Amino acid sequence: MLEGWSPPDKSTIEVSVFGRGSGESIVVHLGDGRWMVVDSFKSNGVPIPLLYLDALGVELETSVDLVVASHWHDDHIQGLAETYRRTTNARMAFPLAMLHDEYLQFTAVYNNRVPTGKVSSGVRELGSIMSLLQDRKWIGVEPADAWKTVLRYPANTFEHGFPVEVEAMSPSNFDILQFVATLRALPTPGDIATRAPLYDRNDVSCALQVRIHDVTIVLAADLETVADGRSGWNGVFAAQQLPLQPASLLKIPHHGSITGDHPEIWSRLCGAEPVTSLTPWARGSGRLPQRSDVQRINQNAPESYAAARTVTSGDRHRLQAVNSVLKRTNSRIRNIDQSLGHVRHRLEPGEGGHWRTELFGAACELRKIAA
Amino acid sequence: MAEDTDIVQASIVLVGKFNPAIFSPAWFAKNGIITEGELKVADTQVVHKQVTRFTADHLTISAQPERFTLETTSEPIIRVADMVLQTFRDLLSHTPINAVGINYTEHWRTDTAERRTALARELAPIAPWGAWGASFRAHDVDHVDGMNELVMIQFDAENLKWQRRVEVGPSNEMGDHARGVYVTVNSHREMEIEDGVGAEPIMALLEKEFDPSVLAARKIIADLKSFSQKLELS
Amino acid sequence: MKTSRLLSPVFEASGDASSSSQFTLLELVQNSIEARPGSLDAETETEVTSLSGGEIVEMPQFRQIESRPNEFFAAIQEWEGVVTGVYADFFTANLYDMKGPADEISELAEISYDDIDPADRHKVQEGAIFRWLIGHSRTRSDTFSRKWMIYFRRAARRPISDPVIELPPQLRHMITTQIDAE
Repeated sequence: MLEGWSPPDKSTIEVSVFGRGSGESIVVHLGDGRWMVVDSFKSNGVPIPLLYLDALGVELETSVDLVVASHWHDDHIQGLAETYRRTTNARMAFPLAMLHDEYLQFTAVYNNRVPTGKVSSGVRELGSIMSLLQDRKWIGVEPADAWKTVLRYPANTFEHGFPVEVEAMSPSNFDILQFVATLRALPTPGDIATRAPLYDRNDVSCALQVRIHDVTIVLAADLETVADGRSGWNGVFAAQQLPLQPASLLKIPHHGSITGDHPEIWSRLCGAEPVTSLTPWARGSGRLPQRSDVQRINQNAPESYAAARTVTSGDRHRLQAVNSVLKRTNSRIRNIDQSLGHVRHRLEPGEGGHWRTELFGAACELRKIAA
Repeated sequence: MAEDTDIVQASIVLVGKFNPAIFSPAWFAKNGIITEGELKVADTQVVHKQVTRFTADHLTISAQPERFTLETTSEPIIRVADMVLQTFRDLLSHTPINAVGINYTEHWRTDTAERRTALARELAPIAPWGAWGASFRAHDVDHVDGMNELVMIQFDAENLKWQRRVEVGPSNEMGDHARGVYVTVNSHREMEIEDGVGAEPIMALLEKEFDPSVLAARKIIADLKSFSQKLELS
Repeated sequence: MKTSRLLSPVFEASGDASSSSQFTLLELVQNSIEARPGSLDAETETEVTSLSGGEIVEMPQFRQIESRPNEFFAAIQEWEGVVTGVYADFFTANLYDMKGPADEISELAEISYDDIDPADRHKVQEGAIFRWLIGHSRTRSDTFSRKWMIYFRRAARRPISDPVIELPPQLRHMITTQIDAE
């Protein structure tokens, strides 16, 4: 838990972005103590959405209306099954691709290839979610593809009086079927225990728009721009269904990468100088956002934040004997900074106001992030 | 584990119904469970319908009609779990197995013989033994009156058939009669298995429990070592 | 003093090969298991199948063995890792400290192929799960040296029975409609 957490007022919209060295989770207050959750990671074994909502005293069984798995990569989905299990009234949304037989078969093949315990498995997590859905007789399931509304409340449902709509912008039909074709073509795995492949594929990511009266929020997941005009962000902008109301708040796609960017995000999807947040990511020696990404984002959105810093190096957490052995190898290890960070944005809809942002834990202004 | 650990040993013991004659080194090698190198150095004592036993480098495998044991005396001890899972989850899943024991042992040496004796005195004080205890002496390094072996047991609160058993005693593995100590932690799990159900429930349990059992064992041993190191010697 | 049960047993045989045995082999083995008074359940502890103590029986000759490893590796640090990238000279991995919480990456690694057994090179593939252990080895003559090892884990050949996901008709229709539309 981070110091300073407090629940929003009933009519306040809140978008909370959580991150750390590896992990992304977003919790949104729609009004009247009603919440939605997009993605999850764990901190000390506890799913972040549950950590936060429990700390605020939210009754999970009745107050969470929607849980979304934007895609199945483990830095976005750890702990989401437990989150969904506890939010017994919530609808469950995930990319429609996950219901295709090829994906269910992919899950069956890879579900038990990762030994239980340590290494997280997004496939296993999503498999648990499917089992829970099946136990709940698929009530509340919301398979999402482009321009599907996954949650809608008419005006006057909430004290603020405004309608609420959550709509998926992706994945496109094209992306879903391309992904399914890729699954079909995967070779049979061998004898070595392996996690599911395709961790570089983000084409079936579910990017969302949340609209509450004059406020539009875009939660862009890990959607990327690729060459094909029918895929990723190109597919989103090829469709004509963009909001009349540009977004004032954007959760930056794909950890701020250049491939997550698209010029029309800034020219069409968002208003002038939106407030933005991102979560960092690291793999091997690669990390996101890079310094150039930070500059690019800040040019388009001077008010930008990072939910956590990226990796740090240093031996401080290891035994000296371990470090001395490591020095004799030709390998390198870097600590990953797992300090939890939280960027909280709040706004009263209908008042034409500006987002108020507060930072907790390891969160910081984006320009301060070390690449 | 600390740097003072000399030897780590781990084993998995299964209780069920086995056919010992199957478990030859060649069978394990053919199924990719031991390497060709291990097959080459395998020392087979017996392969028989009632008992099989062989060693290969750090591994020892033995089987009787109602018991199967796979043991290693070196890291990576997770390999023991992987080998048992390959054997009974993947290949012989029809085998009825109703109990599994995960055994973890560390051997180490205290800095002095006095410390080992002091530890033994703490674990098993001689005062309760009255005049007899008062007569205990350290005759020589091999003959020290007092605790020889101590066993502690803890039952699982939710399933009394599940238990953790810890045994501590003197070790001579490094040829040091005076300072060697061993601790063995046995995590025992058993289940009611219906007829016709094979190894799957116990294998699922093993896969889930092996690492936590080893972690718990290491913690127990680390606490004991830490206690030993802090003893004030007269 | 009780000797620990690390030693491999040595079968001693005497008498000529034609003599019949006085015990079945199984009885011999079972008789050798030390009784532990008061123990409630010793059935899954590692048993001592030793015939040491001078028991001499007339039975067919068995191979006499003495297999005692001379070097032992103990770890002071253990990670479970997953390969995240495969490159020409190294691979990258997410490392999970075995003492840390599950599902939480503790470190990121770039591991040189020079640091793994060449026989394991083919096992380096994206997503492969391994253990990286750092520790020391000690011989029976008390020679100490620092060591590391990387062990690639084996996958289940047959998945433990998974719950079957049966889609209801309306979801199946949604999938079919999507495929047909494209």
